[in-house]
Amino acid sequence: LVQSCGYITPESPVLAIGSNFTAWCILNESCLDYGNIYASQIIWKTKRSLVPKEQYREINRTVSSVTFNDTSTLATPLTCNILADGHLEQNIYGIDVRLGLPPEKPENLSCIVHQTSRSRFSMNCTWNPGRATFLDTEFWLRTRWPQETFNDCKAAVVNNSCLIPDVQFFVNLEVWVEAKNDLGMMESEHLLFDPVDMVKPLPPQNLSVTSGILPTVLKLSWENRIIPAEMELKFNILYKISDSPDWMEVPPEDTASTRTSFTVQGLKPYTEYVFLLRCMKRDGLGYWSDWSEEKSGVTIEDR
Amino acid sequence: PQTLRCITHDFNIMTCSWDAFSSTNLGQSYEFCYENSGLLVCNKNKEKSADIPIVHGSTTIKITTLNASGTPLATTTFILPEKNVSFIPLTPQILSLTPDFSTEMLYLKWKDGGSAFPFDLDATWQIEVLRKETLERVAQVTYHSKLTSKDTILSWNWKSDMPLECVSHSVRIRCYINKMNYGGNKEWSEWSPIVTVPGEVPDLSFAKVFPQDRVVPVGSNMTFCCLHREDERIEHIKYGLKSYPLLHLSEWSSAIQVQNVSASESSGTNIWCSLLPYGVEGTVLFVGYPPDIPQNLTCETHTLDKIICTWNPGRPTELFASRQTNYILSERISGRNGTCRVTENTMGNVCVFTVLATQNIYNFTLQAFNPVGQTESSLSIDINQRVHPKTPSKFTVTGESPTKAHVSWYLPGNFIQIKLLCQIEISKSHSEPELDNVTVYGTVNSCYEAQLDMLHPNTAYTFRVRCSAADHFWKWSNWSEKKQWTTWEA
Amino acid sequence: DPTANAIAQAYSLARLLQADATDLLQAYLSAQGPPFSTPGFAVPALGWAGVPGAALPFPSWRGLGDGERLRGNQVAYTAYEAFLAVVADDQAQLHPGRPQLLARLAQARVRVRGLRASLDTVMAALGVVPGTGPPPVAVVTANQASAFERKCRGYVVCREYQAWLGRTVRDLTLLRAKYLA
Repeated sequence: LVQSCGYITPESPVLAIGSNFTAWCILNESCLDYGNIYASQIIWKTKRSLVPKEQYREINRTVSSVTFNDTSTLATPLTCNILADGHLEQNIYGIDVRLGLPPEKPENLSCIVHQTSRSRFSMNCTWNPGRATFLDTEFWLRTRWPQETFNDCKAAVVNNSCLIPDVQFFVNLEVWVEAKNDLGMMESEHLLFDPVDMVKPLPPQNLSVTSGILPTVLKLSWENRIIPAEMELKFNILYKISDSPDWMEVPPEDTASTRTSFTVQGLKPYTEYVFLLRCMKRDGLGYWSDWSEEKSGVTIEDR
Repeated sequence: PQTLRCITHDFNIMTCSWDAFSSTNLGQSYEFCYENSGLLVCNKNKEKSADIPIVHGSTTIKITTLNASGTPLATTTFILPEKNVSFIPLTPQILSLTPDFSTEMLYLKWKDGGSAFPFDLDATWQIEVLRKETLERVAQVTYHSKLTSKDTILSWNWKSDMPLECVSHSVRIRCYINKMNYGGNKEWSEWSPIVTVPGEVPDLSFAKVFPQDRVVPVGSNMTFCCLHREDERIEHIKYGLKSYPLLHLSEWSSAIQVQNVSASESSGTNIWCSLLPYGVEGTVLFVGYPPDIPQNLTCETHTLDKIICTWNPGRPTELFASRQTNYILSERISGRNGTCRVTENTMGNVCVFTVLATQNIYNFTLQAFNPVGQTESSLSIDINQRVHPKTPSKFTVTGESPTKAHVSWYLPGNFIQIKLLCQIEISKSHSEPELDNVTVYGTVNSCYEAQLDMLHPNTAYTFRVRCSAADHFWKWSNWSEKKQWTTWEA
Repeated sequence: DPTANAIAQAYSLARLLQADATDLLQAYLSAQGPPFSTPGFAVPALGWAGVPGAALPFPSWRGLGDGERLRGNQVAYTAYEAFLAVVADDQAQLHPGRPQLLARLAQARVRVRGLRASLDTVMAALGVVPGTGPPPVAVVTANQASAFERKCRGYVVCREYQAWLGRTVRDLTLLRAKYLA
C-alpha cells in the first residue's frame, strides 16, 4: 500500500462549529484489485478514536462516506483507514479539519482623533469584534470620501482597533469595519462624520502664571497647539490654593472662546495658587485634551 | 617684366609671378621659357604667373611680354637661385569642428596634406581659437605632426573655460614644414578659412543661462552666461547670494566668473540672472566631491551562498539623488559582477555576490563613481575564511539525565564543506558562565545538536549558543536567545 | 440645512488649507537654497504655463455667478493636484533627503482632493453642474525641465496654490453670507 490508495474529499475543510459535515473516502481502482480492499472495509477515525459505524455509509465499491450532525465532536485529523486482511489496520488518507465560527457583526464602532503634533492628527477607531471565531479572522477598518477610498487599516496586534496615521478635517469621512474569515464576512454600521468633530487636542503648553497689579488677581498665559483654522477652542481652568485639596473652576462661559491668556480674579492676597488648564473644540464636539502641566503663582500682598 | 617672385608648395613645382607695366594692358600675353634637363621649354600665358618645375641650383627664366598680335614688346631674363624660392605649405582645410556642449569641448579634425610630398616631413601646426564676433583670440596652440607622404586626418580637442552656448567659438589653423635640406626660404602657410560654432541665440534657445544642471568638483572655476533678447537688459547675475561683475560677451550675452566654488547644498547652488524690464532666468550648479576610496572594505558570508560586502564610503560627496555615488562590485577570477544597493545615508551601502560552487578565492574590486570622479578598492578573500554565521535560532534544550542535557539549534547556511565551532554558554546562578566548545560538521538541513554532561542535578541553568567557522576563525555569530532549563533530580 | 453645512465645511477646509499653503510655500522656498530661501523672496513676474493664476480684477470676480465661481475653483484644484505631484517628483529627484517637504506636498495633495470633494458637495447642494475644465497642462513636459526651471515651477505652483486658496476663502465667504444668512 506504499502507493496512495485513496483520498478524502473535501480536502482540509473549514467548518462552522455545530454544523453538520459529510466527508467521502474514495479508493483507487488499482488498489482494489491489488490490495483486495473494498469501501466496506473502510474505518473512519477522528484523531485516534473510532467513528461509530452508524455514521458510515457505503456509497459503492470504492466510496464510503461519514457524516457528523454536529461538528463539535469532530476532532482532527479525520482519517480513512482499511482493515487489510481483517486485522491489519492501514491508513489510506487523512485530512485536517478546522472548526470555527463566522465573524459576528462588529459593534460599537467609535473613533477618536488624537492630535500628535502641530497640524498632525491620527485617528484611532475601536469596535467590539464579537465572539471568538477560533479561526484566523481579519478586521479591516475602511474609510472613504465620496470620490476617494483610502488605504485600508488592518487591525494587527489586537482585533478591535486600528490607527490611521493622518486624517483630514472638514470632509465627511465614511468609516466602517469589515470582519472576514474562511466562514464569512460581516460589516459594521457605517459612520459618517467630519474628523474635526472627533478631536482630542494636545493640551495647551508653556503655561505661565504672573501676578497682577491687584492682590486678588493672577494672569495665566499659554500657547495653544491647534491653529484657529483647524478649530476654535474653549478652555477649562481649575485652580486651588496650593496646600488645599479643593479645586475651583473658572466658569466655563468665561473661557468659551479661543484665547491664550486669562486673568483669574477674586483670589486671596499673598497666596500661592496652582492652576490646571485643558481645551477642546469650542462647539463641544470632540474630547477634552489632557490637563496641562500644573503651574503655580503667588498673588501680591494687599498694601 | 620685373620683380619675379617664386614660391613652391611641394618642392616640385614653383609658381612664379611677375610685374609688367605698360601703357596698354589690353590683349597682352606673356611667353616664358626655361631650361628643363637641357631642353628649352617655352609657354604662353595671359596671367603674369607660371608654374615651373623646381631644379637644383638656379633656374634661368626668360619672360617676354607680347601684345595682342603676339609681337614681343619686352623681354627679361631672370637667374633664379633655389634659395630665392620660398616654400609655403598649401593652406590647410579644416574638415570638421564639432562642439560637445555638455563637456564644453571643441573637437577639430583636418587633413595634413602629406600626399603632396613623396617623403616624410616634420610639420608644425598653429591652432587658434577665437571667440565672439570680434574673433578675439582665446587660445593659440602649437601642434607637431609628421607628414608621411599620404594624407592623414589629424584631430585635436580643446576644453573651453566657458559654456560653448555663451558665445560663438571659431578655429583656424596654419602649417609650417621644416624641410631641413631645402635651401629656400620656408614660411607659414596661409590661415585656413575660419570654422565657427555659433553660440545660442536667445529666442531660439531652450534656456537662457548656461551651463545647465552641471555637476562639478569643489574648487572648480566656473563661467556662467545669461542670454537676453534685444529688448532686455541684465540687472544682475548672482551665484547663490552673491552678485558678480558682468563680462560682456555679445549683444545678447553676458557672463560672470566664479572661482574655486565650494560644495553646494543638496538642492544645488542657484545662479540667478535677473533681467530688466522684468524676467528671471537661471541654472543650478551641483558642486561636490569625487567619491572617497571605499574604506574598510569587508566581504564575508553568512550562509556560504551569498557574499556580503560592506564598506565605509568615507567623506560625504555632498551630491545627492541621481548625482550620488554608485558602486560596482566586480570579481576578477570569474569575471562576474555583484549587485549593489546604495542608500541615501550611504552607511547602508552593500553589495551582494553569489558564491560560485567551484571557487573559494575571490578577487573583488569595488568601483565607486559619481559625476565628478571615480575610485576603487580591492580585496582578495578565501570565502571559507570569511564565514560569519547568522544568529542560531530554534535553540531547544531537552533533558537526558540528571547530569545531561541535549541541545539543538538551527543555523541557516550551506556549511557542508566546512566544520563549525559552536560555543555553548552554560550559566547558573552564583557562578561564572562556562563555555563548552563543540565542533560539528556542516549539515544539509542546517540543524545541529550537542550533548552537555557533567551538569548538576536539579539545578536551574541558562544556555545559549553561538557558532563560527572551525578552521580559519573569522567572526562569531550573535548569541542565540537564552534558554532556561532545570536538570532532573538525581 | 445641508447647503449651509456644505458651504460652512468647505469654508473651514479652505481656511485650513490656506494656513497650510503658507507653511508649504515657506518650507518649499527654504529647501531651494538662495535666493529662493532668502526671507521675503518674491518674484511676481515668474510664471509657469498651465499653473492656474488666482488674480482676477475685483469687478470680474465679484460678478461671477455661483456656478461659474465654483467651477473655476474645481478646474483650478484639478490642475493643482497634478502640479503638486509634479513638484513632489521634482523635489524627490533634486534632493530626496528632505522627507518633511515631500510629506507636506503629499499632504497638500490629499487635502486638495478633500477640498474638491467638499466643493463637489456644495455644487451638488446648489444644483451646479460640474464643469469639464481643460485638463491640466500636459505635465508630460514635466521631466524635460532643467533643475532651475523645476525650482521655479515649484515656487510658482506653491505661490499660486496659496493665492487660489485665498480666493476660495473669499468665494466661500460670499456664499456663506448668501446661504448662511
